[in-house]
Amino acid sequence: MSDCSALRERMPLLLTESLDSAQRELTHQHIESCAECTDEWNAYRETWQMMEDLPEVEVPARVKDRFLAAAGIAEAPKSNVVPFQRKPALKWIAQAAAVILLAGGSYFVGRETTPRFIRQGATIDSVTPGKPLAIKPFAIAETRVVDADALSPVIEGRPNITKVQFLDSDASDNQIGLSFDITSRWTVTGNPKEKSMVRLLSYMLENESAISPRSTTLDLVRQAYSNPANADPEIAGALAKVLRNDEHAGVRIRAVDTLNALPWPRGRLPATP
Amino acid sequence: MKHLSDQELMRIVQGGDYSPASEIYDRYSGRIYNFAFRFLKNAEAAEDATQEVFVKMLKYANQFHGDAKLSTWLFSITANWCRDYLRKADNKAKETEDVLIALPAPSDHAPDRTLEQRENERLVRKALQALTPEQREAILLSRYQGLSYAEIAQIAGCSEGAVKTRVFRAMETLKKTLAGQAGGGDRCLTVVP
Repeated sequence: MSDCSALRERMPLLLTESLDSAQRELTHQHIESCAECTDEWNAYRETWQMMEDLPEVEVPARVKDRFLAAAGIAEAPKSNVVPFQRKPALKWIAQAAAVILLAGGSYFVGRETTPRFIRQGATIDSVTPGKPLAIKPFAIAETRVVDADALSPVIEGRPNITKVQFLDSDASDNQIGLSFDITSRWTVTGNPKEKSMVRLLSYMLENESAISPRSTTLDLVRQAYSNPANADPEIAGALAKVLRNDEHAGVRIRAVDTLNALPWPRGRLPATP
Repeated sequence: MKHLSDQELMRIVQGGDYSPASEIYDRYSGRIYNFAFRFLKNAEAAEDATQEVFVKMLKYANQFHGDAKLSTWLFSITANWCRDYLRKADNKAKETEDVLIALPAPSDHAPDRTLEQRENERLVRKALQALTPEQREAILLSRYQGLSYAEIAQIAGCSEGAVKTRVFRAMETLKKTLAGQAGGGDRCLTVVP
């Protein structure tokens, strides 16, 4: 029995594999030969295994901000609550007056500038209809306002939400607002000719700083847009901006190489705004 | 900074340059926070502990001589902070309330966790609360941080023998509380007539 109690004290060490090989061997031999210690060992292992189910918790991002601020390395995070300010009555009056002026002005301007019909044989066939504006469900935007009823109640993954502001401009309308920054990962796939893809890559070329090395984007652009079928002036314009504005000579050289690889007449860089 | 060892980063800090602070934080904040969170059972206190541990690391950087691992030194600071926290009478009084209010139940954010895992998590949390702070500290450092008894002894300021006893007693209590309760395992049901 004394053997058993001495060996049971070693069981936690056996679990953490902290026993030397001789002791480990002895302990296992005893466990195999003693029914009580076998039960005990199984219970230990079950307990140890069950403790695995206590998951790791992620450290909230604000803790690092607070630490860096406390250490004087970064600015203290700003308060995440916006003080609520009611609209003064005068503001409502001013808004109402603005609406009246706009409506009246529009009527007056519209009446004075209504075009006269010129009946000179214009037919419906001679009119080229404008391309309807395609409304797509997503846009990459700096700010976005979404109605709660248009938002899925499912929160996917564990997005990092920071700088939360609570908005309530009118306490009587039973509406509240939550404004926050969120870091989410987007993967956009599509044909290089897609306007969305062109615009996104151009934006990356023109604004890329901490996003990723600009040279990576340049390589991708060269690979995708050297094919004449994908030629797009917007990409060439963005490359020209890189060429003019990037402070790194290596990046500028790579931009020239990429421009040369594009199917554009040499020496005629597209104008940049 | 990423390619520098802990000792190299600390030497820079000891020279008065705090630029490695962020890198050191990234390396150890997860372990520190989780240890404090499990020890104190309070997310808010764990956040305070994590922040203050790293501030103290900078403040007392010259006390780190490099003969121990940086992780051991940081866990020493954390354990001291947590013990102080628990010693304060008002925190003790709040503790029970905080368990109910402040535990964020991380499994709620992990939809892939099974019901069985969530139930086990609840049981383990409850069982850990039944331990003395010394036992809880020892078992958390051993089970979740993989520290040796020598390192735990250094952190707890006691002998290795004392650590061995604490872990053993902790395991005995946990075993009594948890064994046979694991989700999916055989359960003993008491039928009330």
